[in-house]
Amino acid sequence: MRAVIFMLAGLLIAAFLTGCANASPRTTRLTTRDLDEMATIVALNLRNSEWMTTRNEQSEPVIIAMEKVENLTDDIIPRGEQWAIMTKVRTNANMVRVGREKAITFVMSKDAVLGAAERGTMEGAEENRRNPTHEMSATMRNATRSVKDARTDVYLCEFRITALATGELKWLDTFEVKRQAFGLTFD
Amino acid sequence: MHKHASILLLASVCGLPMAACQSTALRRDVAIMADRGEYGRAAGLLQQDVTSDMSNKDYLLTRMRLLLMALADGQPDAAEETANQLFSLLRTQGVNEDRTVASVVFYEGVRIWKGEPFEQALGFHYVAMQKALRGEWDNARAASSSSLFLLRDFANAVGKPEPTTLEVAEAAAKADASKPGQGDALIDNGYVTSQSDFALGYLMNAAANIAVARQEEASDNLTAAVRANAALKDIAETMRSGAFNTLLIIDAGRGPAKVATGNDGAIAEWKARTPSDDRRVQVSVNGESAGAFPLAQDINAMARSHRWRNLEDVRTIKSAIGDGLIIGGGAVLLGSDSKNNDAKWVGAGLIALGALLKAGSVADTRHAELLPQRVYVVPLTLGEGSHTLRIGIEGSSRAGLTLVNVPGTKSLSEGGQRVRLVYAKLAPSEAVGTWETATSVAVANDAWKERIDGDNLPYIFGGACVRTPTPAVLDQYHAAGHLVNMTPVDLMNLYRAEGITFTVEEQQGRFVTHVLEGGSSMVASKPGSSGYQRLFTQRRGRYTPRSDELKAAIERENTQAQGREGTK
Amino acid sequence: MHARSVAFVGGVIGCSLISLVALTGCQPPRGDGGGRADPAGTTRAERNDARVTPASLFEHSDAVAQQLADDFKNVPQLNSDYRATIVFGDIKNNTGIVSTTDFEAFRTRIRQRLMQSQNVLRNVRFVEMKQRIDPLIQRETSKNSDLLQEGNRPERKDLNPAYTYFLNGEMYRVERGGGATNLYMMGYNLVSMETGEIIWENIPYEVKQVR
Repeated sequence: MRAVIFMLAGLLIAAFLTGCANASPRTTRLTTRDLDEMATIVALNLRNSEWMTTRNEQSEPVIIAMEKVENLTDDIIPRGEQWAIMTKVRTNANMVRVGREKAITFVMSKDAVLGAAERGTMEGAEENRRNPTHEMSATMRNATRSVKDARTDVYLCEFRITALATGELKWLDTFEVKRQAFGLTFD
Repeated sequence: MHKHASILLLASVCGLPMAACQSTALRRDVAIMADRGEYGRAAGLLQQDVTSDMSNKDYLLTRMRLLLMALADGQPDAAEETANQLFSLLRTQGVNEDRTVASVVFYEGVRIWKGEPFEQALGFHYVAMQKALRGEWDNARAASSSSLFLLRDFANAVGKPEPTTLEVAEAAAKADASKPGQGDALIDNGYVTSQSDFALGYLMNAAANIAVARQEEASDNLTAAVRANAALKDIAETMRSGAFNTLLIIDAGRGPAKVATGNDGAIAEWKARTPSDDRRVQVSVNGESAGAFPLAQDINAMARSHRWRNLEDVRTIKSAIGDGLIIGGGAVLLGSDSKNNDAKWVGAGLIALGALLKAGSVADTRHAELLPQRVYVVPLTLGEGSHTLRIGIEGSSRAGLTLVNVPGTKSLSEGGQRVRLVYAKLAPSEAVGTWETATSVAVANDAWKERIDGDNLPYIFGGACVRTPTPAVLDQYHAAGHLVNMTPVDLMNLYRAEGITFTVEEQQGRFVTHVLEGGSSMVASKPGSSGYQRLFTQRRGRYTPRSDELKAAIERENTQAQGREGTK
Repeated sequence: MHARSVAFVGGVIGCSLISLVALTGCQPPRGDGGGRADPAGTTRAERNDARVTPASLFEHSDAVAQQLADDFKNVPQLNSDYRATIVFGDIKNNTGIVSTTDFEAFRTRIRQRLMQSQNVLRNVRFVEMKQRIDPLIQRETSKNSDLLQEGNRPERKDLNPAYTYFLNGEMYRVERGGGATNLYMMGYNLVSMETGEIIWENIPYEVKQVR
């Protein structure tokens, strides 16, 4: 009899145990740490790239317009985050400061100019006096493999600086990260 | 004595989770508003139900409801946080892993609602629509591709082409009877994975791929859409050829309802509220017919298909266990003699547990109540400027929905898109207001560039203008002799004194009902939406000021107006 | 014996209580703080709010002003023969939940800090945004309603694009865990009115808030 009671008690206690589940990851979405690492490493690679190190103040001026990350993954990357990633690479590489010694300048993005013109917060924004010669952009892709209770995503992000007149790639770098998650997909 | 107390304590503790299992049913007033097309007011109320506690079992359900209403109201920006959170949790695996035992032993309703697979697919689809309405077609592509997950097909295991979930459960129970454990094996592994037949998802994914210039992927999706629904052939060809720049998505009807049926209400079944049929939708642009278009997706059919459902056999088995224990418990109690107190108490405990299991075996009938019954997808070509669309279901006695001020095409260099999404939800009720068929704008707003009678005074002052106070707008007021000494900042301060917000950020990313409908937001529905049609084609009753500042300003304005009248 | 002990203890306690009351009664009356808190601190309400804390905004605005003041001599456009003009520009607010007016409030703090530096003021003048100043000019200077007609209205003088720079802001939020974690990235830069080029930007400021 006591054994039956204890068995029932065990069943009920197990039913209440909600805080004791294992801590395996439940999602493969990129974390803020992943984004931080990506921006830091890519920025470093840009600073140390041959394209940058061979340039000086007398080099032909380069005016770069930045574009947001193009999302070709099956994960949502909010617009703000897409811009944040690119801004992070630019600021981590100290591009505005370093650019002075390399004849490189950044201009406001087309998106920013259109937004400012719409809000009326920058006089003359609607005239769009920008004259970029290059574009800095990135594309994020992923490859997914999954079974009913596990999923793995490999993310690949490609960063580039492209000459607008010729389409020539002046600089290219990629960053990869793999994430896995466990648990039933439907539940 | 001590042992008896322990058993009673266990039995009473069992009762605790039952009290916490009450889920948030859709409010009746919200349901009525949604039925009548008053999506803004419905969304404003639904926002109050949204909690930030991710362990709340209705976390996803409240967000799904809010997303549906916010989109219907033409406010994708106000739905951004909701959509992102919904997507994030739909993509999270094992959400209910910690609650599986509790849900099996007690009540399915302890689980965090994630919806049936078809509700999850539609959840991803509406997130895709929210992104597309914001012009974020890359994110729309991500969300729509997430809606096209593989399905579990038990046709072979059951030996029928389209088995019901009860037939699947019975097959599992029979397998268990022949050899214990075989039932679970059938449920876990006895299915064949099959490609999704979510035609709407394929069309959405195709549109997104066209918008981001990925033609091959778009073509593959269009082929899959036609395979899932052969009636979409012409639509797919139009999209494949690129002969469109606007995608009109139309929701209509009331989606199916989930009800408890069967033995002890242990089985959940889906009942159609709007019957299925294959009537087409008729669309006209600026008075000229653009054609009649077939149904893209029937939600009733999805709900009926076992491939789009979670398995229900757990509940039937629990019901059986419940019956068995009550009989067993009673036998122990009756059989025990007066000297065997232990046996008496065990019997009582078994009866208590059996009763609890029986009560907990009622099916969880939570569902996304605000889904439509059917969805149409119409590719159109709209020129520059603004347009008027008229949408009606074939053979319907209702006049249909008019959408004024639908934006036309804009060049990419001016911030335009390759494909623009227009979304219209047809209100199911017959008791919708005359706004549904109005053809002219009656309240001045930021998206309307022409003059309107009464637009030279803000709505909060008794006029017919809800434009953002910019220097140009104030100039118009001043030119009519109104608010003469007021700057844009002064007027903004009066709005703020009333607690009125102008941007979604000021609302902390939340949905707030528009000031024209008794709310406190000036965030307007996007032109070309049901919300825009309802908000701006009808005049409203006078605004009631709350703050002393505005009351004083109104008094000054009235005094000045009288002065002007006097000098005429 | 027992009764005497009780009486003794009671007496000690009583005296202590009387002393306590007397001592507190001798303190000068203190005004009610009224809920005032240190602006740079973080209250419980701020800690549990998903929006960026005012403490971070204070810190960021101080950092930006300091960095710009320090970097001045390294920016050629701000060290030429002419006195450059800095005017508030656009704030690109991608946070989704923080009002732009919050950032605007702290942007004025940056300007205020910079205007305290004579080094800065020697090379730069700050001009109010046209959107904000024109209605004020018109209200204060026009006496005749005819002046409200286009072409007659007093306005702020047009700026020379070659020597004018916008102080623009870019605010981002990366959210994870259904809003449980928010990483804010905030930055300001100076952009040429003539070419749209970024001539200066601050070291990125990031703050992660966990609820």
